[in-house]
Amino acid sequence: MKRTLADTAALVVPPLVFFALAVGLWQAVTTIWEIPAYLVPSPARVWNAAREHGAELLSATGLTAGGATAGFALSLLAGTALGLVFSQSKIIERSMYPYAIFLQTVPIVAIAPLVVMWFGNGFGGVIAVAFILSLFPIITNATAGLTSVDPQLIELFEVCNASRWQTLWKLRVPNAVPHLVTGAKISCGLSVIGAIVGEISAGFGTQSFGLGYLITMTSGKLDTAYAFAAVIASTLLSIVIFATVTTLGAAALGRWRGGARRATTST
Amino acid sequence: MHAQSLSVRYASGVTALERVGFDVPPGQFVALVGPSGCGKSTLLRLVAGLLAPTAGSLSVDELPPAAARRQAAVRTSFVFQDPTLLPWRTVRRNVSLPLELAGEPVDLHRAKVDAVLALVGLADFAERFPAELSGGMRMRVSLARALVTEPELVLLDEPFGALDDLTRHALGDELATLWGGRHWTVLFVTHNIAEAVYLSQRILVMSPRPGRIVADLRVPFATPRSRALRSQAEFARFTAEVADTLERAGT
Repeated sequence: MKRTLADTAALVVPPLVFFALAVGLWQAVTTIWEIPAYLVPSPARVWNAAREHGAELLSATGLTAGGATAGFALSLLAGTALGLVFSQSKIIERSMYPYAIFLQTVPIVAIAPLVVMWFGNGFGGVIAVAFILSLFPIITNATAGLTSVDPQLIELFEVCNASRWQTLWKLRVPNAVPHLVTGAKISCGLSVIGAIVGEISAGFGTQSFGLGYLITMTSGKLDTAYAFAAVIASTLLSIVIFATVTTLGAAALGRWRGGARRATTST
Repeated sequence: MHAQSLSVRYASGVTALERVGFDVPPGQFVALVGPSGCGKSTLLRLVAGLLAPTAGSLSVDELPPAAARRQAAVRTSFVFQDPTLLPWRTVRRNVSLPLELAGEPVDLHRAKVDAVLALVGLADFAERFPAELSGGMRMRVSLARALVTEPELVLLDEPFGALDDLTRHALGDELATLWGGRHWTVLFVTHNIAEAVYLSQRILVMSPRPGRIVADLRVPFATPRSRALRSQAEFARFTAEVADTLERAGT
């Protein structure tokens, strides 16, 4: 399946048209009703703020990207490892799973200051918050992928006298890959949110800071145009990370071909 | 293979098999027919050592089935109703799986896989993925995977059940030809009586649940058989006879 130019255009043009319309409407509304810039700045003001603080914005985005990526990578490792443990022992799964749900339900904004206190007022704390927020979807999807194997395939391996390790590496782990990709797609977005929440609690007073700090600082000073620019930067960062994970995931699933269409669980 | 008063009761209280006994000499092609849910598949899983009987004894080559299989005293293959292929592996790597799991050196795989793929007519499809094949071709891959270890005991659990008639007949013919050349011991579960008569030397007829063996019939046609047999009067008569037996067992 080669994507033609027309296909790409069909994919890219509608969102761009929508974007142009939305920005136009935004500009019109702010101009016509003369909305104060500290409430809703016009797109032009946001653009100017972004240009004026370009270097700062870029370095903040880079730092947030680093925190989110590190937290996401750690959750991918730890979540897969926990999934492996859960898949091998029902008892461990049953005794630990309720606490894994804690990761999903805990109000991250409430515990972020604590986490930052424990892991350091800086990059360490930011990574820890991003990690906590993005861990759960990886655990659930890894566990589901490792355990939801066709029972006939398990029997096939048994008839072939496969060892427990062979069944794990040659059957359960490959079976889990599509699920893991699904989990990673959910997690990578959460890791950006986690990094920003972490920065809101952590980044104060440091020389280098991320988008979370920038958003609180600028909105505190009623520099709303700059705050908007920072929010847009964080959204763009999420989109870039999500697109990267999706592309890598599609590459990893290349070998599954039609098999990848099997249902995968998500949270 | 020797089975004596085998019973299987599940924890749910369901009795799947009740006092089943039979002997199968080496090299015989035996079909198991019976209504669905009568425990045919359960019986096959007992012989494969995937399941232990609640009561009774079963031995394959004078060993308990699981031990016979593990000690490689009897090379056992199982063909499931679904092709049960690994979607992330090519046809070649699917077929070589049993060799890989048995720890055979990798450099021996290629020749064996090529040979067995040629047997089932898939020599040109070795590098394809299962999703690229038709249902019949996938079943052929499954058959090839079962044969690559040169098994002595082949257990087939309604392997052609999900296929259309034309493919079913073609694969049946292939299976018959392959068996004719090798003479493995075969247990073939099916609910298609004509298929059982056409392929096997002997038919064990089972009753509805709890499954018992109600008839042990010798198929009166010499092997190898030709397609012409399917349209002969004696074939139809014997098939009707087996169907009768099956029906009487159900009432």
